[in-house]
Amino acid sequence: MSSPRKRLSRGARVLVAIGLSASLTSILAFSLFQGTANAQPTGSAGSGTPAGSGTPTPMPMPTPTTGSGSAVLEAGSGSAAAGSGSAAAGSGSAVDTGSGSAGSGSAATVPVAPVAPVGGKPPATKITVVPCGKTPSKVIVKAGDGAREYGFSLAITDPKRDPALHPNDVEVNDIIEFQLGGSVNVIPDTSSDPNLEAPAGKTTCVSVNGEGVFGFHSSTNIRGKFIAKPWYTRLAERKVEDDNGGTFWMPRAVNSAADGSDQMFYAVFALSAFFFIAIAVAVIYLVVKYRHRPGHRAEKSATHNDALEITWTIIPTIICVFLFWYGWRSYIHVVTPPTAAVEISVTAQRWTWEFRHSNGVKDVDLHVPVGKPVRLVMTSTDVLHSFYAPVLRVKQDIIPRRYTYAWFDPQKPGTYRLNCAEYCGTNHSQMGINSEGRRAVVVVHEPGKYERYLADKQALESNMAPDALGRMLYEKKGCNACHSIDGSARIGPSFYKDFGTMVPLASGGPVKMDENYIRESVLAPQAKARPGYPASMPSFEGSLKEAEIEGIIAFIKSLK
Amino acid sequence: MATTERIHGPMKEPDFLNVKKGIGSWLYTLDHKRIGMMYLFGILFSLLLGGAFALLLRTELWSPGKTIVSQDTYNQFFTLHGAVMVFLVIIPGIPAALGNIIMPIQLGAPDVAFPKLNLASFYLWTSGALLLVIAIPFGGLDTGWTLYTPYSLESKTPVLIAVLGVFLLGFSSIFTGLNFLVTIHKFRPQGMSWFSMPLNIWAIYATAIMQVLATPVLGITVLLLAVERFAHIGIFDPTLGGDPVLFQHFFWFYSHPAVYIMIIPAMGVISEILSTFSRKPIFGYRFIAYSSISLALLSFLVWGHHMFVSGQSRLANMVFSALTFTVGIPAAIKVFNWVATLYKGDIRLKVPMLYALSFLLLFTIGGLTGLFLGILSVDVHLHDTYFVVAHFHYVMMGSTLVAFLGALHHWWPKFTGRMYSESLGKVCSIGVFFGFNLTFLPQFVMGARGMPRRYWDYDPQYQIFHQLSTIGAFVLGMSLFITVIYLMASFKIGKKATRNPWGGSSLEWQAPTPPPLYNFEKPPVLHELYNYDDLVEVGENDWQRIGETYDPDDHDDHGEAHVEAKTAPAAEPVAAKVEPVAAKADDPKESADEAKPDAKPEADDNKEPS
Repeated sequence: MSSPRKRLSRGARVLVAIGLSASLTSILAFSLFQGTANAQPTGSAGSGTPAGSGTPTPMPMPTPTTGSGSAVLEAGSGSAAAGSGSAAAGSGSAVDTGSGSAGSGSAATVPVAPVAPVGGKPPATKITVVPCGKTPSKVIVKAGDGAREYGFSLAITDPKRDPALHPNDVEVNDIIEFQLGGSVNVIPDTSSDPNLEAPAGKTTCVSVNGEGVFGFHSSTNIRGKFIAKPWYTRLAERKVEDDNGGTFWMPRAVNSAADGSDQMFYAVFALSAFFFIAIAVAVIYLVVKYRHRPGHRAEKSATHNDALEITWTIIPTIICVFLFWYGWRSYIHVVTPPTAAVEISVTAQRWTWEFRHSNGVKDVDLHVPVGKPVRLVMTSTDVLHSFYAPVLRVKQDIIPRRYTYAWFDPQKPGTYRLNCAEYCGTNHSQMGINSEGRRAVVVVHEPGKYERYLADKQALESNMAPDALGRMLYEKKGCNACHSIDGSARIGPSFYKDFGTMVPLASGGPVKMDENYIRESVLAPQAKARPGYPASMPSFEGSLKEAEIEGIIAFIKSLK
Repeated sequence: MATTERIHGPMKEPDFLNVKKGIGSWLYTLDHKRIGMMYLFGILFSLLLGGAFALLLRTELWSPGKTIVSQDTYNQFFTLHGAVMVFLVIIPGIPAALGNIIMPIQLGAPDVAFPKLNLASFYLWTSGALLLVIAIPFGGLDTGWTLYTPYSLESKTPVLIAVLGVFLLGFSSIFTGLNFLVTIHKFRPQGMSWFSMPLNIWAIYATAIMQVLATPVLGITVLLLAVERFAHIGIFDPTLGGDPVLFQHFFWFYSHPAVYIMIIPAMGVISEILSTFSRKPIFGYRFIAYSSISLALLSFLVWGHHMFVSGQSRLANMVFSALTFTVGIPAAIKVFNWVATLYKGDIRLKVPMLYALSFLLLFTIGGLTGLFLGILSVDVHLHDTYFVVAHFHYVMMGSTLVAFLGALHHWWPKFTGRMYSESLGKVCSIGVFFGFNLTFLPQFVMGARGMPRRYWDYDPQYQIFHQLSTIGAFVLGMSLFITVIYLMASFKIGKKATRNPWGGSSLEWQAPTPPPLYNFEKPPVLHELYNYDDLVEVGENDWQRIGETYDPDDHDDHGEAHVEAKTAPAAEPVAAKVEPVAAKADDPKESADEAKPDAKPEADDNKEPS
């Protein structure tokens, strides 16, 4: 082997120069990125994807009245505050046409449903006939005499629909206006909703003051139903806004605590792009220049060059030290919550989420306030899961029988994707999906709305009709992962039209599906298991209150 | 040499493929080349199986929700794809198959140190592979190849069968590593010092260290898993007082070095190919050799970077992040040295070289995207997304499998004696390169955008990336399939290969093609490593060293070939003429069932291709 050259060859000098400039560039890039704490990441504005950027809801569904309970609760703050809050939010997310109205309509709306007396026991969910009035928050159902532009036949449930667009959905306290033709009556499906009756040839308005599904049919036997949902559920059902204001590479950045992480991403991206292009160009150039052709021969050159090789050992070392150091600095920020944070407990289980707030409210969606640090205390009841909201840049595995933590400081109100990132079995990709096919989301509320969410949700949960409570539990406890309510096959038997029938058992002999059977199957699922289904259902002994079991029974009864 | 010819007369020693016939002569063989060939066929079959799972799961991901199969079936697809590809293809790919075939010849040795242990390793591999395959009709496997607890403790699929398979595969790997360590230590010919070993041998040596030291941990881990599933002793199951994260530590303590068990042999063969086809000595031999060893040692210290969001302490995260970056340094050194090797060369774009150049670009991408994942704050966002999937496919598939294909095409003529179709080979290597990039580049984008891995269903926003990826997977799958076909066809229709078709300088190119049972008909002559000055191209895919003649049988196409010095290379080529020490160490009588080196040929070696 030839001896190492004392002087660098021309090619070697060029390479050293490239390497040195690369390391200088990268160090400079890091200092710049670190220096501009709140600067937008490179190229964010222009390269945003158009996908789903603020597609307005086709149906101009008027949004929220403040509703009875909330109107009372909000009395102190006054409607002006609500109005200004939403105005500010409107300017924050200009593309979001739908949310602009959230709250703004409320000031003008006359509360139509009976107002719950302060401190008194709230009334059960019910339908009330209300004056129609000129108000934006109403849903019009037309039928009869050929005029059927909306409602009725359109309102048949299609499980594949985009939930945000579904015409069945109405908001709690919306006014539903039946504009009926000359010969069509509207008759409620169950006798418990007598006020849902609307006589032919007249315009009738009704409102419902709680969550629930309300079936009705016309005298010409067209069937329909509407599903009353509270405003915060409607918010959760909006199209996720991850890609609104994101870049080609990253979704929108919402968590101010993770800004450093994004800066690191783009800095390393620039560095990697530089090195890749340099290496690729060098390879292509050398291959073309020294390709074999007649008469071409390899020339002698150094077989090694210590100076050169030490250079290209030291340069990556310096770069790596910088990468590590800034990675660590930005990471320690991501995992260290401030002392004053809104704390939310999280329980993950196959295949749903339960987020529990300070006042006891539980939800499958994560609702958080904007501009306040939020800390999650998480555990799992079965296998590993992982909390992952891409816009928050937060990911943390959730471990059974142990608490893990995450925190974030959300800066932009909106509805965002929420994923399970640790493989957990069959429905891993659909954690928290509800019976309408919508996955759980993170809702970052505009100022003041989170507190309203807590209050409204608590009020609604305490006056929920048993079957509505049952439906809520069906989705929240993850029953829907295995049991359908439309007769379709899933891991467990469907609940559809089962109540009161004789069902076969794996241990032989059919048994009547009555209240006791449902109760037993919830508490000791394998005691009277049905044949042909895996023994995978866990017991809910201890995790359901008596009223909740009753609710589930009422819900199953209602599926006819 | 003239004397050799006079002594042996016109009769030529049969090559290892023809030395004995019949299925038994293969199943009981102790010949490293035959064992390597059996590995190779097993691995190619596993590659098609794992590839089939890959195409099935890519097809399922064509659209959100159900495309062809349900969630549970999809979960099995990605589990089996991972398990088959990792344990059956990539880990044994270069060391066990090609290493077995080539490494002893490259050392100038007649066989590995322990031929019987070598055969035992192969049968352990076969048994392990069979168990993994048997798990498929018994309900598949849905735990992910990582077997994370407590899911794998509860899964209804036959996890016990599969982990027993993994256990056996682990022992196969340990025995192979042990065998190679001893072979490299003891069977180097006189005159071949550590720093005149081919870099491929260095790489196999580094790999063997890891195989021996890391794989026992895998064995212990899956054993504990099996005991816990079987006897309900709380080790990893939190409801029994165990710790599920402990499993991840154990698992990655093996599986991170395993990544280097996969990539370091690839780096070895790439060094050989780049040097040979550039007609240049490898640049910075010592740096490459040292970086192989340092990678092997550092690989034991970085397992925690798989667990940055697992609930591991911040201090541990900091230490593992820092250590992870140290791995980047030797990897970067290698890339720079490989690029520098091309300088002032005479680059011949044959099929192995195309794969080697693909490797250079793909490994660079795989390595650079690893930087993102080593940075703690960025990893929090990217962990368990498609970004990670794309990153490790660039390393394991884009680098290791591409290097495996390059190595296969590099040494195929040597051990089969046949040339494959050069034009098909070029088309397929380009197909592999573009198919691979089309498959995995979109995955970086969707991963950074937040698409988690192991998802059967996804938001429509990601569909375009999934569809590009699926199209790429089919281009890649088709290219690999055609590659396997034309390689198999070369046995029947391939042209006879010469002794040294690429002008390689290491010892295996002095052996006859295909080599006889004990590899050399006369002791190989040690020349200066990676010196191509006195190798001259005497015909298409035929090179000879100036001043040396070989048995004319090797040169059917050119008849008597005596090379005259066409150029005036100044180097003094011949270093030392040596007898391989191993020739004495391995008494032919001990290799019970094998024919003696001087046995009569049972078949006509010179049979023309049909």
